[in-house]
Amino acid sequence: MWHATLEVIRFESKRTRTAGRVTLWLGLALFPALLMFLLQSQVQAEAIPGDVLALMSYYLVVQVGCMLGLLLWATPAVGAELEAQTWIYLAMRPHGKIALLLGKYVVATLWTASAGIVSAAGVAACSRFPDAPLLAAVLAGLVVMASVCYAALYILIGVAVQARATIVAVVYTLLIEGVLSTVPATINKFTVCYRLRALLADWLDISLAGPEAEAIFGYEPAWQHLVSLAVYTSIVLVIALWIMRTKEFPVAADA
Amino acid sequence: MSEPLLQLEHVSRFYKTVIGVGDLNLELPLGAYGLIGPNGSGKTTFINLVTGMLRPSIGRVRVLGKNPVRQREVLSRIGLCPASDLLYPNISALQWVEYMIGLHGFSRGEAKQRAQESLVSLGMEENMRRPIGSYSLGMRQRTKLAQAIAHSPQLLILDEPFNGLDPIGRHELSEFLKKWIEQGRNLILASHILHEVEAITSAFLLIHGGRVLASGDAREVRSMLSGFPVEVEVEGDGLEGFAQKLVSQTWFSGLSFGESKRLLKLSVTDQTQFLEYLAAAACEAEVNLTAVRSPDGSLEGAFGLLLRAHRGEG
Repeated sequence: MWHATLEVIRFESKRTRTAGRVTLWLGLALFPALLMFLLQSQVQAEAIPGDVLALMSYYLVVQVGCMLGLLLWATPAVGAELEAQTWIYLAMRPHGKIALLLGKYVVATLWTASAGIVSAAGVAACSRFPDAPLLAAVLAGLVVMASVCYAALYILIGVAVQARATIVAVVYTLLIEGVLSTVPATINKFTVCYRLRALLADWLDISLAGPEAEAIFGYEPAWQHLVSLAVYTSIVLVIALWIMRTKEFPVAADA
Repeated sequence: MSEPLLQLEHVSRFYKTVIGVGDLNLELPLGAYGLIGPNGSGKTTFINLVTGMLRPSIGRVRVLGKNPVRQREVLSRIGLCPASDLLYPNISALQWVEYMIGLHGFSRGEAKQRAQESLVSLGMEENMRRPIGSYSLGMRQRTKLAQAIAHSPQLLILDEPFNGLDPIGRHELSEFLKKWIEQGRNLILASHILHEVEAITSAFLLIHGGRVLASGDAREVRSMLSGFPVEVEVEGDGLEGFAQKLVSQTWFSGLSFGESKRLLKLSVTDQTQFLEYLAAAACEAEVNLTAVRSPDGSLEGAFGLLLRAHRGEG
């Protein structure tokens, strides 16, 4: 199975080198930095507080950049093969289905994380944040974690729902990761966004005031957030693998 | 004793309220088989069940002794060339076949070598490095076939492989499949083009409405039909008197005249006895024959009869 997974990674990596996909990668890597540069060029130095800059950078790089990249890469993992009628060839290999899922997961994660790390460096450089290298390092770490977690989530959505999987993923992102994660209640702890935001606040020592802010930015130690993200990703991937193994995907009907 | 090629025990597959295939009972020894039926007859569902793409709603499927859904290692012994087109426009045939073979667990070097060999054996040597998007339909068919054979499977399954091929392509594919069979390998060839299947293999499964109407070689299929009436047309003079005498024959089951009295359409249950009787009548100058037309004896004729019998028109 691992050999087959490596083959998928190799093949899918080659497919990332087309002009269209390289352009998309450059867009995701450079556009957040461009936005930050334009913003800072319009205001005086230190006009924006450091905490606000950190949060803006986080949302630009992690919550928008990474998630957009993964929506495009991870969600259609199965749907694209079904649409291109190549699914049956992969499914005819003994470990083809599982290798496809794991391989596409790895490639989606690497592709998005690499764009996100470049983006993190660019945004930090343009942000006038007091400690730009620290901001870049924290954002890069969060990009890696976001890529690993959200790629698993979007792969699961793509495996569970073939028709309009990307729309389902966008709706899920907006409602759960967008709205629910900002609700100051226990339920927001089940979102990836809550954990990432809490790590950002912890690592950049963003000072927060009030119980509501604590509920939104988290008060648990960093290791708890890291373990939660690891458990979350593992569970989501296992469910996706189980669905992949047991579900009957639509194949050609009788002509 | 070698394991059977296929074992299907009371296999049915439903799509909600629609029957894809119904109550299939088969045990096929190793060999080459034509899976023949009109479009929508259940051929692709049959193939999807055999390859584990679909689970049977009822019953049990075994391929080379294994359950293709649960014991997926059996897939490495099967090569499938599906009917659907290949839509990887930016990848070359060599890259794609190499990838497909790599997924079977072959090392990169061996996968490349096998991919090249299979593509070359199918006449793709000059074009295998071009993007698939620039291929003709025939080239894409050959590429699909290359990925199915490059890992040296024991069983090759082809679903409508002649679709879209020009006469030269059809001939080349037929020759390739004949060689495949001559090498003692197993084949299931699903098609609705009867004469092309008949030219490749002599064993058939006739499928219609999700049911196997008959199986066996062409002679066995025809022997199953021996009791069914065959339509024969006789053209000539003096047919009215000849028709009156037929009524007493046990192998005769009905007649009608065409627009003129020179064309007699008969339904007979034993063609041999009928032809002997007709020959005797012609020798005694009772009839002056100008033409006798009957089913050509090909599988197509037998298949037509089976369909009529299946529909209760026999």
